Amino acid sequence: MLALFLSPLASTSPDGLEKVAETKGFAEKGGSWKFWKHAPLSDYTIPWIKNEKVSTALSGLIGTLAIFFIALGIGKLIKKSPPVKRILSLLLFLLPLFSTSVFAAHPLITDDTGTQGKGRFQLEVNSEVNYGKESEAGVKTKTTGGEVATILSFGIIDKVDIVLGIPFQWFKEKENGEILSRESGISDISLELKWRFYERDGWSFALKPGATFPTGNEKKDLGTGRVTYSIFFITTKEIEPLAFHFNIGYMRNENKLDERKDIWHISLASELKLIKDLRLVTNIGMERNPDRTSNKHPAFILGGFIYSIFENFDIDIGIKGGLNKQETDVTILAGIAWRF
Amino acid sequence: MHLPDGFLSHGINAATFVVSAGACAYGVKRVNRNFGEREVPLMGVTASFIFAAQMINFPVAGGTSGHFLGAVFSSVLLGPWASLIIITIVLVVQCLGFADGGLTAIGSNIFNMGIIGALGGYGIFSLIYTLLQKSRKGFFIALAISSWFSIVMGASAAAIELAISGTSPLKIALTAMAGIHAIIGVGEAIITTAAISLILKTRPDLVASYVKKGVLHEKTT
Repeated sequence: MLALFLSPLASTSPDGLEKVAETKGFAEKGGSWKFWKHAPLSDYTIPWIKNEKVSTALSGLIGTLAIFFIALGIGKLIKKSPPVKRILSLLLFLLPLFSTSVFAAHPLITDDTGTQGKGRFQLEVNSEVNYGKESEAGVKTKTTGGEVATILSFGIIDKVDIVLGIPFQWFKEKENGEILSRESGISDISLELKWRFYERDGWSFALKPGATFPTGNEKKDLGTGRVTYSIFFITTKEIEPLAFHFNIGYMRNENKLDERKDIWHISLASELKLIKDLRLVTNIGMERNPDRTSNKHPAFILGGFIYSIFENFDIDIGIKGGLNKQETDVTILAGIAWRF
Repeated sequence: MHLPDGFLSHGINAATFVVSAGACAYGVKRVNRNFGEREVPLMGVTASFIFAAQMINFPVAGGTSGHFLGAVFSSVLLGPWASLIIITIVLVVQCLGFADGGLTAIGSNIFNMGIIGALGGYGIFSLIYTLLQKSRKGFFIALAISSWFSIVMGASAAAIELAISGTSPLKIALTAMAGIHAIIGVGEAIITTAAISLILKTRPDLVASYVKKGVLHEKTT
């Protein structure tokens, strides 16, 4: 009500900060570069209403109502939900604000040789939800789970990135309809170095050594309980409008879970530029099964899209399917990447 | 006081974003402990009131205008952590929906107005309120002074961020920002005190930080 009647009458003078910016001569710094240009009601006006006062009053009313319901919704979420859901809803709330990916990246499993460039950052928030079903000797096991990973890359020099990944995982295991286990928490944090050591005629090669640290609780199946090491060899070949990425890697899977310690990974990905800002991505790959009792190794196939909303801001979505029983049946992936 | 994109360096924005996100996460945890049926709709109403009130710019000296912030107002009603969340919601909607305040500067804006304004403002409020032995008069004095400080401190924090970012030298930014906002802060103090005293008269049960100390309740019942 207040907004409806008073807002058009408000002083049109610049506010405190704007005034300071004008008089001290740094106002032009703001206008030249605006990150978010898609606000529906920029500067408190509705674009298609000509009368300035009506426009301001209505946009104020819309905003006021929107705020009321958003605050009400968040208040309800805070009040009722268990801790995991609260953290999730908070992440979901922050997700649209801050996330990212460069060349290929999420939803692809296969990495590319791209680096950020000296002094540049990339922040990614990648999420996945998975579902699996297995039936053995009359026992039906259903697993649902997911992960939200925050990944920060920083270009130390043009060709070397340092990459920090913090995964938050949760899962639920049901046997014949009864909940067997249900856990959530931070899993093992990873630290990697990516060095693109050669590039020529569309070909580029990179090495990526890395380690994970036992920040998760392995007793809850979150992480391995020990420091693990890995090294990946990455190849990228670009032929406009296509790009291919090939990974071969070895992971020293030190663990307290009686799993295999030597894990091999091999995967291939392709990217096709459909239109200017939209890329179709596909991926196929295989890894040695960490489970000692099995000699069959999980393999996957994946398809998805990456869309660049801005030059430095991507969103992506993908679906991953298991090619055999050892891989999770269905995984939906979504993420955002922001480079700055 | 809403900083747009491009005024601050990415380093400052990233640092304040991390601090703000952490504070919000902790705030959610804290709020969860003492949130009942009544607080949820009150949170909605408070947030929309603050949003509406922030649209109304009042003129201050020298062709400048200021607007209500509401950080201390919501802190006194719902507690400082709920207030931080309310301010965050308002800032996010203003930024995404109305292009008021930059998207990259969202962390800094939450830091200046939510953490410094709401948490810091409430700290000053409870300090003065306790020093004045929690009298009725003391409540309003604490309210007025802390409202004024919430604005001036928030503006000073913005000035320091501008200086670190190399946008404007500290001396110039700080004196200009704190100077203008010292006047805007008087407006903030008047609106906060008037609004809270109105609520105290009509629905004293809604003012959490007053009821908790039970002063008015004993007098009125």
